[in-house]
Amino acid sequence: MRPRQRFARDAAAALAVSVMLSLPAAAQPEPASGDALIVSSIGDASRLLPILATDSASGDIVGLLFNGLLKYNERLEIVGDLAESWTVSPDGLTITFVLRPNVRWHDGEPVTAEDVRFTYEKLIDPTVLTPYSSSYQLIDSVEVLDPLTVRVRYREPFAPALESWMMGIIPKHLLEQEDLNTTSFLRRPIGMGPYRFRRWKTGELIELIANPDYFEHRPFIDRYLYRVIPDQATSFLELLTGRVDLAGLSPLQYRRQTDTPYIRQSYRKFRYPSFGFTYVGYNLQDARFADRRVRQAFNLAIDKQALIDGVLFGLGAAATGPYPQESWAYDPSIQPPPPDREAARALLAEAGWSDHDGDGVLDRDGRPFQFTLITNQGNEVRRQVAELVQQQLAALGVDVRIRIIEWSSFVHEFIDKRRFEAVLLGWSLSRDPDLYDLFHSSKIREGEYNFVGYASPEVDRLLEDGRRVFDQKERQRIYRKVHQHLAEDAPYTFLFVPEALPILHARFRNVAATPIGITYNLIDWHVPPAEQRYRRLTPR
Amino acid sequence: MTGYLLRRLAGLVPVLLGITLISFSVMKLAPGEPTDASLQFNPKASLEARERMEKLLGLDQPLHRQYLRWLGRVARMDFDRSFRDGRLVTEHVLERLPVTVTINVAALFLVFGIAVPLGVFAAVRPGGAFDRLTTVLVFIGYSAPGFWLALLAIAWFGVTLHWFPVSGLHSIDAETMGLLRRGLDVAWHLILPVGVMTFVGLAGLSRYARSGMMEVLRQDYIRTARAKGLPERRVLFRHGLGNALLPIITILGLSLPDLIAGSVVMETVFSIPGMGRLFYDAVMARDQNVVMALVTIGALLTLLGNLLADLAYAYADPRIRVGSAR
Amino acid sequence: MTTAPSKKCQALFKSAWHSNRLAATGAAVLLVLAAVAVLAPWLAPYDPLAVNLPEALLAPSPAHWLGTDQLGRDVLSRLIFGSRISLLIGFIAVGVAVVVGTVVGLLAGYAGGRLDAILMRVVDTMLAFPSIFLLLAVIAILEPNIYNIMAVIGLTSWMGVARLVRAEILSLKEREFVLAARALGASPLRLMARHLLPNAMGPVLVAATLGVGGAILTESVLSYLGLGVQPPTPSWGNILNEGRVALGVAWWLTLSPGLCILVTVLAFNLLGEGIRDGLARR
Repeated sequence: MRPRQRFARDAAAALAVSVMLSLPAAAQPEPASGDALIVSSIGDASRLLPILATDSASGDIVGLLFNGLLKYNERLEIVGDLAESWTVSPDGLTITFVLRPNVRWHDGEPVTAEDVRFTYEKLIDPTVLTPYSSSYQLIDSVEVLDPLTVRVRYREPFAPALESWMMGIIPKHLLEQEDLNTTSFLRRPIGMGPYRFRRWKTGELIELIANPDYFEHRPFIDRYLYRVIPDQATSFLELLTGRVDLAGLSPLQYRRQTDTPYIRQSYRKFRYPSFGFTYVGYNLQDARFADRRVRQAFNLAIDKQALIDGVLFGLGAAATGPYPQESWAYDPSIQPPPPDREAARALLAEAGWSDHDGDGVLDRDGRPFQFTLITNQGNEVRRQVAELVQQQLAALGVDVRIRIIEWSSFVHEFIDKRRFEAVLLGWSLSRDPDLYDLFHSSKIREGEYNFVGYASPEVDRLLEDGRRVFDQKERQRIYRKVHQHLAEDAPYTFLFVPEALPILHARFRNVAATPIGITYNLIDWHVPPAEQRYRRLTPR
Repeated sequence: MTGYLLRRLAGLVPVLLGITLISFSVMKLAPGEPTDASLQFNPKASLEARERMEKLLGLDQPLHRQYLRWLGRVARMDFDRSFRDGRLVTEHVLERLPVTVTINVAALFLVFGIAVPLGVFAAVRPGGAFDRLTTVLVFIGYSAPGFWLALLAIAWFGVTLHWFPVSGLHSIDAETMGLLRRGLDVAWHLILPVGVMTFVGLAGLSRYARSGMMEVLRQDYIRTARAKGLPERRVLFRHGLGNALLPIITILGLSLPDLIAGSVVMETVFSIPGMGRLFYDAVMARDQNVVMALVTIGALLTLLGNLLADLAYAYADPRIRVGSAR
Repeated sequence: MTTAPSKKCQALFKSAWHSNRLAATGAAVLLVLAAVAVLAPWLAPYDPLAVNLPEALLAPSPAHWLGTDQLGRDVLSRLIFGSRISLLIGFIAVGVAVVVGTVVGLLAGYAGGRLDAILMRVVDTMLAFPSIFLLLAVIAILEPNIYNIMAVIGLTSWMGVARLVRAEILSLKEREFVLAARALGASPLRLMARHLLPNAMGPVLVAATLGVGGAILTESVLSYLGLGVQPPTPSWGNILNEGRVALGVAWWLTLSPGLCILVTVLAFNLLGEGIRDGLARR
């Protein structure tokens, strides 16, 4: 039996498809299972264990193989995953999780509270190569009250803790005798998630198959194939020949390269805001940038919408602070100011910068306003943004040089050692609005993330308070204030929040773009039998 | 002969040591740490965690200690582990070697099979139409950027004509195929990469064959054979070709170390997990154990290959064999 | 008669010219290219750095003969200015390689003995490195600007020149005119400069010509890996690299820089081969 391959589709089927897509999933009969989803990735995974997975490829795979106690739903609310329910004590120091019964590891053993405690022990184990330990340092103890109940005690109230328990839980019975850094489990993991590990051809392919005993329900898509395609141009060509089902598009590809009849017929494009932002960060120890007026002037001079329209082809939103609009911490009352070069010039003049010698470049005390904007190599969008920012600031009278630096050097020699004037970078954030690591004045040591050197006592206090309170309304108030302060102080010029642009083969049903992405309900995706492309491997 | 051999082998050791030392220094001079790759500016990964990782990986030791430790391991044929995923470097190499060697051997085969006849026949009538045409064709392969040719080949043969797959080594359902079909599947996937690599590699050898043949054809004994009235074909094949082939065989010997070297460019464009990509990824991730292992193995093979080529030449050329007039 | 290098060179080129049309074509192409590079500011219709987003990704038209790139810049202008960069890199990298290689080869060939052994050992060591390692590692350490690229390409390709020069010197050392000059009391320096070096330069010239093409190709590979000349400065390598992601829609962004590189490197190769043929015929 050969895999059925369909490239053409007649109009009747297209009509039926569009009708079906508009019906709520509940109105349909049980979807058929089968087929495979082929995903393209630039890099290969390295370690398939949640607490050790640091690169995005490992993270993607681990997300399908393992569950955490909690997760975000499509409305960005925290809901239970392995945990059926949880309670936070009134003083905020204790969180008690009650696990779902009858969740089993892929080898049949039950998932218990012992596994949760084991996961915690390994996270703080100094001999384990995990970079995630910091979120668990405030834990005083993790107790197993009964096989399905875990009590976690903290030394201080720590609101981001809930998010930290979205970490995948690892199996004690399989790993307690192992050295987690070198165990073969890293290459042949056993989880409890919707998919089971099948095989890994290094550098080529990782294959997962549906877990028939998954506690929610068996995923309808039988197989998940993760193909390693390092070259972006090749990846796109693979998409054109139908050998990749799901890939991320660049803005250029989204707008200009995916309008051929074939693609419009066979693929669906999605867009949703990614959770992060791109910014220009200023070294606040540099006397020129220590002056807030200079930073605010740049804020006014840089036309963010032009950047979005030009580089992102409109696929993004201007940022006014560290939160995307979808975050509950975002303060909608803060509007991005329209670009105003005159006002910017006025501000700079106040700070002592004007064109005294008529050469087109602003100067002060005889020195021209010139600085180098650095960014990392390998990011096409960022490079173009740098060039546009250079142009816009040149019109203001500021001479900007661009330097593009290879990633490792960039991080070590320039960022960590604070050897920069201004930097163009992006942050990819977790949903929890805690920004302590980015903006608290204590996080300025070499290698820490407040490398611009921002120190504001009010914001420090707000950040500390925001972590200690569990009530979301209260936290919202606090973080909105943080947003306001950061918008005013402008340690960064917040540029934009880019959109994620996945493209997916049209045969997959039940797919929608939400703030959390399109794969949040992967287990509910399905393909009508007539359109399935890849045969099943196991007769189930 | 044995004395010469031993001396040459002994001479390899300082060169190898020098190479390991240089590659170690280069890797250490490069700003950045192996732990960067794992951390990727992850806000959840704290400074303490990074320091812990560095300690665990032995990266906080003084440099000379790190180097000597590595050297000691290599002496026991242990290339230590990769920093990126903790697996043995040897495992990584053994995984990638078959693909690279297969592709290189196939390309070598094709290059020899095409370039030598091409060069020989061009030499028969230098400056003629055939010579000029083949020169230009062969040089196009040599003069164009490899990844450009590869991309155009994929776009034309893979996307437009749909004759070959765009990239990768296996079809999606390859593992359900029987052994024969799977072999053919891999071959089908390798046609474009091997084809492009062959096209690129034709120039060198065909020019060599051409000039070698031209040199031979100028010799007196060829003129003698012609004067004797022997048919042209016999002149060419019997007397000419044999002598022209000798330097070509030397080249074969020199190409042996290249068999394990993968082209990072070709492997990236065609999504082939070979030695080239292994090397490139390791350099970028500052995965020094992998880099040093690959550099050392590559250098060892190159040096041995040179030695073999020298020996073969000395052996084949009776003038040298009969005793040294030094 | 003592050697008169310039007269010999002239005769050489004349004979090569007439008997090898391909090489002549190559030389002609290169002359045109050199002219383009020199006259770039006058030839280019637009500013190669002028970003013009509304006009991004336009197909070739009378207004833009080779279309525009993702930032709306005119491709033809970028290619014209890119010729400067690519040729500059080629010549200087080769220059570095030739200078270093010649000095090493000359010393090794002339001095012989211990010095020769040591220098050749160094050459062997460098040659045993996979070239890509040195390129990658060094470019990653230093940043990928044009000067570092030139230096690195030069410093990883001098070994071939050194070997060539040494071989030539070794054979020339025993020739009559050298022995005669020595008997007449010429100093080693004079020997090297006036007698050995000029006659050894033949193969070096061939290697240099071929080397320029090689350096241009290496720059394009470095650009592919993201370590070449950094934008916005246009080099053929980075124009090609930027354009190839848009292969589906904007074929002109991939085809034209690739053809530029192809034709230029081809011309250098044909010319170099022609010189080699001419020398062999001598």
